[in-house]
Amino acid sequence: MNIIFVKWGNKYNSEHVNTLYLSLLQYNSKANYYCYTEDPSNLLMSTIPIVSRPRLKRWWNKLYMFSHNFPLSGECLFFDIDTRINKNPFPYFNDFSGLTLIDCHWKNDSIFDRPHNYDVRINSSVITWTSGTMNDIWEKFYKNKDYYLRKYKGIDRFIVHEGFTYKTFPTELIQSFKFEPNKIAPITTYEELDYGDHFTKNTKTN
Amino acid sequence: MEIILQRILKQIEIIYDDSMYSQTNDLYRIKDLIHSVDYNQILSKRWLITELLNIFNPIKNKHNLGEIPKFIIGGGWYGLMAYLLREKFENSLIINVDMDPVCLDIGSKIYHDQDIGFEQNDVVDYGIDCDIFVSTSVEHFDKDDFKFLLKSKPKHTICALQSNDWEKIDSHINCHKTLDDFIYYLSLKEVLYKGEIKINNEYSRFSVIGW
Repeated sequence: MNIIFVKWGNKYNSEHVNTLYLSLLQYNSKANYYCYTEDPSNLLMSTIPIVSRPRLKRWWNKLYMFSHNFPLSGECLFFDIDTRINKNPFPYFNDFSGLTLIDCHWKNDSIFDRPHNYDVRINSSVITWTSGTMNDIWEKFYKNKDYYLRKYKGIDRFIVHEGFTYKTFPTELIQSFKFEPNKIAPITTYEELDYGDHFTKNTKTN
Repeated sequence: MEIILQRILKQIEIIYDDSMYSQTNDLYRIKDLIHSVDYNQILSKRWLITELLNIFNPIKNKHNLGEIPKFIIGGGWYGLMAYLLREKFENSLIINVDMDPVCLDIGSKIYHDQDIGFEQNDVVDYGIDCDIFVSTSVEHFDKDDFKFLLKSKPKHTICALQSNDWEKIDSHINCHKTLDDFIYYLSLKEVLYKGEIKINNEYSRFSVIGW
């Protein structure tokens, strides 16, 4: 199994990635760990350089994992850097067919259904798939990427509203830091929410 | 311009109707289409055309531009720049190139009587075998690809180009901090015009004309 992180820019540093890596390593030392990044410095795992063409910013680089040129094969498991591992999540990762994403069950307001806002009830903080089987996602994006970069705020919206099929993980796998502060789950997703501050506070006090 | 805006309103109605009665549901096209003709788009493009007109006659003979100059517009979106060029260059061949297939579809309806050729392609692949190459969206092109495109141009081709320093937009992958940086990047043999305007106190738009 390949476990992949994507780090672009300086919003998150190598310490964020290494912490996530070490927290997963204690539960799965047999997987191959990779970080897809333009800055491999101080990273403890293998790195895959971010391609220079097409140049993409921020989370859009995640889509390249679905390119047929992405140099990995077999089962893939992706984690956003702003996720925290609380206990062993691996028993939940046993289906690598198709695309599996996080069910944002906390987004239950009808406001998320406004069609012209292109909002979604999933997020791609954690993804499973098998390399080579989801290339149509990248291919569709690449053919008209400038339009999609304007239309969607992120890859979650692109995946859902461009009609790609997906499954979701069991809801007990994920805790939303913002919406479910008291839930106990193997993975906490911060969804960019002050994760840097939270990380710094935690590392200083632990 | 009024007739063009009326046609754009018609296209917006069609997009909305499609979202009601067909499988096509792309309401963002409405916003995109409106953005393509907003005040700043028209201002920026008219500015470049004004400067191009100022230098056009003096260089016409030197560059053997002939009676019917050929324009290629790279990343021309729905065709506003092509239309504004047509207003000033009545006897010319104008081709709008954009990789988005819907731009071709909508643009050729809005500007159907303006004698504008619409091509769905990446201008980097299409090439710029023309007298005047125009792109007001250099910030959207890959840095190396666009540089390669300029290197491959015929010697006589005049380039009228715009970029900006608005780095925070996801689709802006070829911004430049200053006008001089933009000029340095383009590496033209001779710069005939250079200028800069501030848009909404938010970012600077740079124009360079040269060859």
